[in-house]
Amino acid sequence: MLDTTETSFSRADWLGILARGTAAFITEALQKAPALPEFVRLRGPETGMSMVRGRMGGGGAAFNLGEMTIARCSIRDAAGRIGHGYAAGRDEALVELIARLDAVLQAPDLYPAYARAVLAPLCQAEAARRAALEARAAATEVKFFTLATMRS
Amino acid sequence: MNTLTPGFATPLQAQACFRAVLKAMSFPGAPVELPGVAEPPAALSPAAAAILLTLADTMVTVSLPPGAEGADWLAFHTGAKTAPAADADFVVARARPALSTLRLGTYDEPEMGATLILDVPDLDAGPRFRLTGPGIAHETLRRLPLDDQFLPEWRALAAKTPLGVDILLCAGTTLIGLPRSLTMELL
Amino acid sequence: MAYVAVKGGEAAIAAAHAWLAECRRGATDVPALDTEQIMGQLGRAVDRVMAEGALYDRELAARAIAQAQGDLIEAAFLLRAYRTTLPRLIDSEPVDTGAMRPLRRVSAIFKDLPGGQRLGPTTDYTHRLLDFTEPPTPAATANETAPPANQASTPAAMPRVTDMMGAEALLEPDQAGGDTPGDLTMEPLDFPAGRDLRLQGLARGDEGFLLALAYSTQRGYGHTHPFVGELRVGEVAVSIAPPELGFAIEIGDITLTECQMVNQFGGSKAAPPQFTRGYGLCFGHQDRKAIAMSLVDRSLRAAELGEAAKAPAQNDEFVLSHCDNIEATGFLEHLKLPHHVDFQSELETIRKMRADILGEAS
Repeated sequence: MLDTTETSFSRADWLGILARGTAAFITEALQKAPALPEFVRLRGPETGMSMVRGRMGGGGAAFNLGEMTIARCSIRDAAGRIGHGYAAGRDEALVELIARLDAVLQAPDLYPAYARAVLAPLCQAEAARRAALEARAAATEVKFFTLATMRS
Repeated sequence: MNTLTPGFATPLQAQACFRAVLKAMSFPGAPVELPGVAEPPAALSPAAAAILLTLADTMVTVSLPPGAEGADWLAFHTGAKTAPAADADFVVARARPALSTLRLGTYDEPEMGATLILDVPDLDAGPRFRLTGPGIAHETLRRLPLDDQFLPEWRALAAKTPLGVDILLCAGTTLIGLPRSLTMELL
Repeated sequence: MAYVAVKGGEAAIAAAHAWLAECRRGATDVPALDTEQIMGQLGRAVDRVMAEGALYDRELAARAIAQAQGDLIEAAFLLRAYRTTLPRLIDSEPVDTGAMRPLRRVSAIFKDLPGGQRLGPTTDYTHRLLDFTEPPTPAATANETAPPANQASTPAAMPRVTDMMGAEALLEPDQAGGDTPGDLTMEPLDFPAGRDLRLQGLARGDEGFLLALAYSTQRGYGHTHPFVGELRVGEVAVSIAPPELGFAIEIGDITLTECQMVNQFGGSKAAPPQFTRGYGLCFGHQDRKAIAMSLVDRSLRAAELGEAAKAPAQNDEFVLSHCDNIEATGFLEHLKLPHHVDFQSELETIRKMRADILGEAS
């Protein structure tokens, strides 16, 4: 995951960060940012599926593993900016928020306030979650040692 | 891609449009109203745009009128890809292509014949026809905005039944269906 | 076989459904199950239902399990039915299991691996004693015991065991990519089936059936002499590349189990011997399914590897036509439906045959 001290995320980065959020978390975080502009829906918010692909052997030709639910939304805000939001799962409120944020984050003068209010806490929460899992997993690492033979 | 405009506002519109297309094909020659699309791209009439939103998806290919920026709009809303008219599942045109140049299907899969969505200025123009066949109780007499070459081409295709092309005539938000099973004569 | 419409029974069905709803709920003075409890505490059932329903969505799978009263094949059926209401929007980029953040990573063939071996929350070393103690009080919350967030949160590099062996050319390499993979949800399966379709079929196949087939290969129905090269369980990011963006983005993480099976070596006059491989990949944490899948995958590669294909697990038509439990139970359970008229004709035939035989005898 990304270093939370980074000052500027690319659009691909911020969409990935937002996708790991929840509607509740983002709505709460937005209390500390300027109100998002009014908007018009271009597509969705809607729920559908993505076929997840794997690779044979892990690195070979692709194969279709199975589908997963995804939600997406595209909006045009009052300033004419187009924003897109996507996330695993079926949370349509979440992807509409992501699309609205995607639109404002593309404006360099608006980026800092929203990055500070929303992206930074999301990054920290996700990093903490992963670190906690990794700590538990690392604790189950097997420390092999060789037993002394009976005969020596 | 700043030319994106909304598609249907709700799935209910897609359902209504599907019903309309079904009705038009089931009762050939009878005009059907359908919910148009608020801001269709310039290349498409509201009816044609609504039909594409309803019937096109990632599994079908569409041929759009030349020079149209509708390809982005189509891909965004339906996931459909564009293809040349000779290969496409759906062919949208303002100028009628020669029917034999479109996909006619095969004997194993006659349903693979193309659907031609023909955008015309006015449905109540052109020569008068007698329409008979499945979906018409006795006969329907009406004008259809079709050129002189149309009837010989239509008859030539009828000789290849079940292969053929199905046609949806669109003007504004009105639709007339001409399935390949229709028999047409000039009056 | 003729099907005849039979009327009547509507009142019986309504009564049956009402009773079913009560059975599903159970005694009302006992708390109802909720999907959070099922996702949280019956996670392995959720994983199985997602895999066999072929739809990754933990909450939907949990809901299906509750509705099916724990009948997991019925739950997978509910999930498949729900799937038909959802449009396929976009295919994902192939996941990179090499970038997985493993909760669990073990190898039966090497002791010392870069990145180490970690057991994860496994039942492997439990004693299988039924636990009669009350549920333990939750440990300190994760926030108290986790290291501070600004410590490195990525695990040490964990290269694939198969990549390590492949570097020495001891192991057959991954098969290179071709065109778009086949999709058995879009086209009926035809035989012989390519490995892409076989893997898709196995990934959604019934765990019990694959377990039995895999076991049969170990008992000699098709020799494989296998070793688990690596088993990984963990989260993997899923990416899509929407045309309107023109670049790939991550949309979330899913848990996958991956098994690399290393099998007896092949070789010929032309090529030196190399270990051959089987591959298993499935949704959720399912060791048994992934291992079984990798054995059956290897077994189904018999023809490609120049082996005589005599055993059931080597027969792609046998394996793939029967591994989808929704397909199987659909046809099986239809036997319960009224076949009154057909059976009537069977009765008449058998009575006549018996009368002829017994009549001649007297």
